Amino acid sequence: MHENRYWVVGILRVAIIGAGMTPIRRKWDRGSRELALMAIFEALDMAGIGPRDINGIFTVPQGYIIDPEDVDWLATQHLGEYFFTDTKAQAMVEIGGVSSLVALKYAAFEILMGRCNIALVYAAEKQVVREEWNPQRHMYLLYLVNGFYGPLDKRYGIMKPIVYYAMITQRYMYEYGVSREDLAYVPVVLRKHASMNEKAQFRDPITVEDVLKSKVVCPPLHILDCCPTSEGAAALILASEKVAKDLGVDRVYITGIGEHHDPTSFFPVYGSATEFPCARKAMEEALQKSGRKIKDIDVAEVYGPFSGTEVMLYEELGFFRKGEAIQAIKEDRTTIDGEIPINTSGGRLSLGHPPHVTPLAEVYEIFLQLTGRAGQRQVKDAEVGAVHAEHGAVNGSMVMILEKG
Amino acid sequence: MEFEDPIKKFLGYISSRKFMLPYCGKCDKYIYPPRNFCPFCGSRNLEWREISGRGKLYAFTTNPDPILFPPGVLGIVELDEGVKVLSRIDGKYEDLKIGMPVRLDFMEVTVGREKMVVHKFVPVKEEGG
Repeated sequence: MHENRYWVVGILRVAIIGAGMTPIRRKWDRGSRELALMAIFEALDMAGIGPRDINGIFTVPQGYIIDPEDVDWLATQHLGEYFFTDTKAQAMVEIGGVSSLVALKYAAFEILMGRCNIALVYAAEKQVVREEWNPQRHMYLLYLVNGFYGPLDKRYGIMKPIVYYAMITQRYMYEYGVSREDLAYVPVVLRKHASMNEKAQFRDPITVEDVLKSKVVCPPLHILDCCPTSEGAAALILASEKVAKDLGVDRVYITGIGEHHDPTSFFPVYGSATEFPCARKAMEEALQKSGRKIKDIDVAEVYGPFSGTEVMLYEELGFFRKGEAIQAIKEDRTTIDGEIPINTSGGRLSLGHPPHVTPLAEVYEIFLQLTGRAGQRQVKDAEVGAVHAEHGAVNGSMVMILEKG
Repeated sequence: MEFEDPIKKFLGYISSRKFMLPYCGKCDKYIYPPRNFCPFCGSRNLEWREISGRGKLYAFTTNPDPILFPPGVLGIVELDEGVKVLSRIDGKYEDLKIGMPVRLDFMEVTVGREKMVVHKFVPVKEEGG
């Protein structure tokens, strides 16, 4: 019923002609709007165009645990005025961790429809951190984030998705015989990548021993298995193939989009917790749309906020067989000169993870890789890339296939 | 259209210390979270049944943010009725094991400003153990 049998490979071809990203940090001394503009102007400069060339603006909310000062539900309207540009489409999209990839999809479709010539997709995220916590001003945030877990689970006072990620990880380790020490290789490899990325939040190398000795946050996950609290912004400039060619700038094409949401919320009531059908289906669809095979992918960014699901996603997305990813990670087969370089940016654990920005930060990394701008961490001859994002505790996933122009 | 919220009804039973779920006789399935239709066949002809209270521990961790709810173990229990539910689990993290049999119980807690009854599960010693 849901199959699209009439797809013709090649229909989807939307150019990314510019990309920008601020460094990712725990705390910025700038607000969400200023962070957004930093990333946007970097992207505009790369594309060689000005703000008045934009005729579509697509964004996401500025975060969840956020001070009212940084919230702007009419951000696209305000930006449209600031840029003094007429636009044919504006939207703010929200669906958890995949939000900014959905915003990118919508922007790409508006370009394909011929409604927009040049579209801006951006995300800027802020967080209220411990030392800023003001009970009078921020108390409602506790109830707001607790509400994410639905009318039944929220009664147990859940405040962060790590509770589910920890249990999924525990169950995976149990079913596939993965040891605590095995899992510790994930943050170590990601940190190795981040050490070559000047925009990453954490760059000092770590060892397996450091991971095992770090504080247990939510067993079996230690703090070094977890993404940090992060702020930052990222922006992309999209154009039709014709506009991109006329501009004559370096470009990357979006050639495949896959999206699937399982009928679950956080923990699967009927299915297995160690399988992510949404990730498998999103990758299959994206590959089918682009006419590519998994073996064609030269570099990938995967949305893994915790070490456990990071490993599981490498398998569910099809890079490795079930139960075999951890061995591949231990053998450096996912590093920059490995058989499939994954999360060359440093991933969520070391690049940092402002969840609304992350999907665009992932596209930013693949854009750099496919246009030969990744410097020290450049994957040789990279021509096809993949970006993955998920929401909930991998209840839904999106995958995009990106190709060198 | 008349609509009786099945979640409200479920929570009403919980507050009187009863764990009831909608059941579809056609599919022989228990439905969680409670719905007003069977997610497998679409039937609206459901019957509320009390569960046996037996299950197995599927996965567990500890509460990292004991702000609205007291510290302790949170887990997923696979009920004999074939559904998995989140619950507070009695016992220390170190003493619990995946697959161990558990039985239903209830506790009164204050979540935020609200006093309420929630279900919890207690490890059962295996026969001969």
